[in-house]
Amino acid sequence: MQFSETFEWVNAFLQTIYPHTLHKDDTRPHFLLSHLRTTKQSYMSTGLPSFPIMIKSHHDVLLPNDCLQYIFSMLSEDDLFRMRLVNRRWNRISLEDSIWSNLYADRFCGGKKSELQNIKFKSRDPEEKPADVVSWKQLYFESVSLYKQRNMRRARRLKREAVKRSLLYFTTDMFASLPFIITFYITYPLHKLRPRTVFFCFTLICAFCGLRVGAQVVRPRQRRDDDDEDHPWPAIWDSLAQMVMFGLYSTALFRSSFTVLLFVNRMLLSLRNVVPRSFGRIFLRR
Amino acid sequence: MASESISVTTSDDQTIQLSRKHAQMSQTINSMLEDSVGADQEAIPLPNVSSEVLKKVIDWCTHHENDPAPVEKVKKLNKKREYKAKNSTISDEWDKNFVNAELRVIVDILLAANYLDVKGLFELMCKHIANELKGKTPDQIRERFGIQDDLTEEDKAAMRKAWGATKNDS
Repeated sequence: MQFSETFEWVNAFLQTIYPHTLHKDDTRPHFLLSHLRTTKQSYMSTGLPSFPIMIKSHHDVLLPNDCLQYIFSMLSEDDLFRMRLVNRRWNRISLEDSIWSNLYADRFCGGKKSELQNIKFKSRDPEEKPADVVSWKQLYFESVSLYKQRNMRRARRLKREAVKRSLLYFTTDMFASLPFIITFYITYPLHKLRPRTVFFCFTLICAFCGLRVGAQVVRPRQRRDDDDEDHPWPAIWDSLAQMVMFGLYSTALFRSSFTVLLFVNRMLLSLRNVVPRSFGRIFLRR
Repeated sequence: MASESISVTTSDDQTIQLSRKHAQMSQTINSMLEDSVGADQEAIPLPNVSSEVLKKVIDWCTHHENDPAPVEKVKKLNKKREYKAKNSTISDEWDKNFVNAELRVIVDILLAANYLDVKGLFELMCKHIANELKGKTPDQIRERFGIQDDLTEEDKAAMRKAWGATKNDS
């Protein structure tokens, strides 16, 4: 197979997967060129002609991508939206992160371009992923950055959504601990635990489940507003809560397994008269 | 000693003389000259630039030959972290007259500036086209630039919907 044929095949494949990112007439190996150029921030070419010059036809004015990108960086938000509606190629170029990062470096990320990776302006993409894919933690951190930008309405909406999803998370946690709690309740007469002790354990598990969630869905204004630290204390609290939860789970697991063993032992002992004497000698010795 | 003028051959096989100072405003020609030290007499081939466009580029270079060399600006946000948009205003009157041409000529000069790597001219052409695009509807832009509409109505509706949702949120 020829080298160019391979590229055509790869481009056809990419066109199938990402129809909105590739121009159908453009047969360049996009996956190579577009990504290799990302390290160079300059808009000027390196002296080599860009490919769209070569496919210039008699009726179309086809500007190279570099030129269009530079031109778009001078346009406002509304203008950029109109550029998206011109054709597929302009749509793709006007969605370039470098253009939007100029517009939104301050508004979304407090000037931190690295944080743009987390946003990616997915809401602007018509083929965006369903909202369920975003975890409550991501929603929470996005709402924090929006609070900082004083974009209160959207921040509140995102926080409400984050709380909803965190409650689901909390419920899942509770379901995870449910077998242990049930075992505790069923078997407490065996290990001589008082009901209030079991209830105390249950409350403790609930409290730490709540702490895990609550530590991160706290209002951003309640803590020090330090831009350089990447939300340090909720992470610490989360780790701490997870450690305590792990301790509780292990204890509960140990106690439960021990209790279950005791329970089985007692059952077998009650069957002592039924089973053969030799079997009892081996396994049911007190 | 290097000669004061340099010959270049354009895409329509015409040989044009330009001064070394003007030639050095183009990073592409400059690097070609550095690569061919001692072979000054040979004409430099410019297969992507026509003679008509090259004359325009030389006109611009002549007018701006005393301008300070453009410095690669590192984009920095100020202390308040405010965004400073790229300015598309053309302040020089001569430049305004220079860009007052047909779109085909403007695009050819832009492509030539991109190929020759003449930063100031490239910026000027981009500014002019950006000003042409500002406030125009997609239909007007398509008509002006002779672009075919390959977006479906569904695509446009989805984009408008996403845009409307984003606008309402912010």
